[in-house]
Order: sequence, then C-alpha cells, then structure tokens
Amino acid sequence: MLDRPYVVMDRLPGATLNELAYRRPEIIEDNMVTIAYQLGMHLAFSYVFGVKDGFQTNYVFDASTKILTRIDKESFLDMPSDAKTTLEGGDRYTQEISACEVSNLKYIPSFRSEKSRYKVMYAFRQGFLDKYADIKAKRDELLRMVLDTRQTWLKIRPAEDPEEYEDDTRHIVKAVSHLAEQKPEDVFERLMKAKAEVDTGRYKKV
Amino acid sequence: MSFEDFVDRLRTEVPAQISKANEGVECELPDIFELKSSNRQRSMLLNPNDVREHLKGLMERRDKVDRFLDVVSAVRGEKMEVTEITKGHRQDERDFILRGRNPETGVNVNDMRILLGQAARRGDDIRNEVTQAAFYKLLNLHAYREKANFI
Repeated sequence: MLDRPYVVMDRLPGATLNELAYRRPEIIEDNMVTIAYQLGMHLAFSYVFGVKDGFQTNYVFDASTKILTRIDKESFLDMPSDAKTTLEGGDRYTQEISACEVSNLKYIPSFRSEKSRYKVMYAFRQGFLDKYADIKAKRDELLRMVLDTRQTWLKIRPAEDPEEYEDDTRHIVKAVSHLAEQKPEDVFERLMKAKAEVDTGRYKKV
Repeated sequence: MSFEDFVDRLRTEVPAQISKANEGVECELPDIFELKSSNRQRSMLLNPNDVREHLKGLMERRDKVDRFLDVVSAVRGEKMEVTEITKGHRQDERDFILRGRNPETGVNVNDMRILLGQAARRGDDIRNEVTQAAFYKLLNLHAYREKANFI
C-alpha cells in the first residue's frame, strides 16, 4: 500500500459540499451567492487547464472564512485532443468539464427553486467571467508555468520517449493558449449547453 | 442593497479573503518535494510506540513511516508529533487525517491530511495535485500547504 507516492497537506477547516448538502444544507443556502461565485471561478480554471473530477466531494467550504477550496486535484493539463472544437455542440471535453462542475450547483437549495435560481446562476457566471479575465491577463506567465510544470514532471519520471513528450508539451501549451483566448461569454454558454447535452444523453459519436 | 450590488461587493471581498489566506502558502513554482530519511530529524520526531505501530500498520514498511513523519513536519514548517490517525472523507479510503501536537510545547497543532496516490496512475495523480498549487496562487484561488513524496 505504501509503495505509492503520497501528498501531505494542511487539513482544511469546513466540510465538502457533499457533506454540507446532507448534514448542514442551511450553511450552503446561507452562503449560496459566494459559493456559486467561487464555483464559477473554479470552472474557468478547470476548463482552461484541463482539470477534471470537480465533483461535490472535491470542494471544501469553510463557513468562517467563506472560502471554497478545490481539493484532490488529481488531473491537470488533461487537454482536449483538438482545442478548436470545444465550443462545438457535443464536444466531449466541454461535456466532461461541465458534467461535474455545473452539477455542483444542484447542491445549492436555491438553485432548485425557480424563484431564486437566477441569483445562483448570476453569481456563478460572474465568478466564471472574472476568473477568465484574470487568466487572460496572466496568460503569458501561465504558459511559461505550464512549460516549467512539464519540465518538473520530467524530473519526477523521465519520459520513455522524449520526442513524444516534447510533442505532448507543445500540444498542451497550444491547447491552453487557445482556450485562454476564447471569449468567456461564449465558453460559459457552451458549458451550460454541454451540461444539458449530458443530462439528455446527447453525445457526439466518436 | 440590490442583489447585483451584493455580488459586486463579493467580487472585491472574495479575492481579498483568498489572497489573505494564501499569504502563508509557499508555492512559487511547480515544486516537488523529495525528502530523504534523516536520522537526526527522526530522533526528534519519533512518537510513542502505539502511534508508530499504528503508522506502521498503515504504511506497512518502517522506512516509509520514518520518511512520512519527516514530511509531515516539513510541510508544517515546525515539528509535529502525530498522536492519532483516522480515516478521511474519501470513500476509496486513500486519505487519512493526522492529529498531533508540538513535541516541545505539547500544544495541539492543526490537523494534517495525507492522500495516497492511485496505484494504477504511478504517481501522476499526486504529481498533478502538487504542481497545480502555483497556478492557484498566481490566479488567487485558494491554495494550501502541501508536499508530495515520490517513491
């Protein structure tokens, strides 16, 4: 069992959205706007940097600081094979990101109410647009960090095929760059539609 | 205050709160932490035998246990004597919560958490976890202190 890598981290105060939804839903409801806003911020990051598995068990909310934290970020730079198709209907990458990240909204009681749902969506969208703008503003530095990250990964485990690794790195940088350049309003709209596609089983044939 | 004004206020308050929380988190680049077992450190960190046995049972191998304790203290930036280990919230039972105290002062310290990598992913999952922290900090998303150890 312990012949495995591991990470040691601060234990965050608070509870996962999943735990709160079942044990203390009033905490989610009382903080619905800030939670929705921060879920939107994380959605932007996940979309541009290929972070999957943003499920309700991977978000911890601390009611004292009002901070929502993404934990167990075990996928990263897991980019689409073709970043130019992510805004097309049925795109698998967009569907995969959307399926888990947007689903988290349903744990906010107000999201399930016709009357107050727009408040949750308004804050969610605003958080998404704000973080996307931040990503665009820091794009060049972020792309350098992607390259540094790939070099760091090589130190951890040397590539079996260095040329293939370099090709993959070029593909990742290009994909991140392309997604960061997209118009945030269009991306958000597509993510919402992608969620509806997933909910109704409309997948593009591969 | 209108709802829209309330959200506008959050747009200032949330980043400020996250920025403050991130202040003590060092992750300037995708940095990987690799600790070698240290006899000197170990002698300061050894816990009561029952805790050690508990850890040993968890970790199976004594040398990994020692290295693990070094990591815990290094992440915290101060010595931590582990006094209790419980399962974390993950259903796949890959995370554990460590409770402990400062061995010199006896004061309880904040809990730590350990997440084991998936065997099938050969450490890629742990690598991904720790190398994201620098991105989170640059983009003012909440980051936390963490260090990885690769076998």
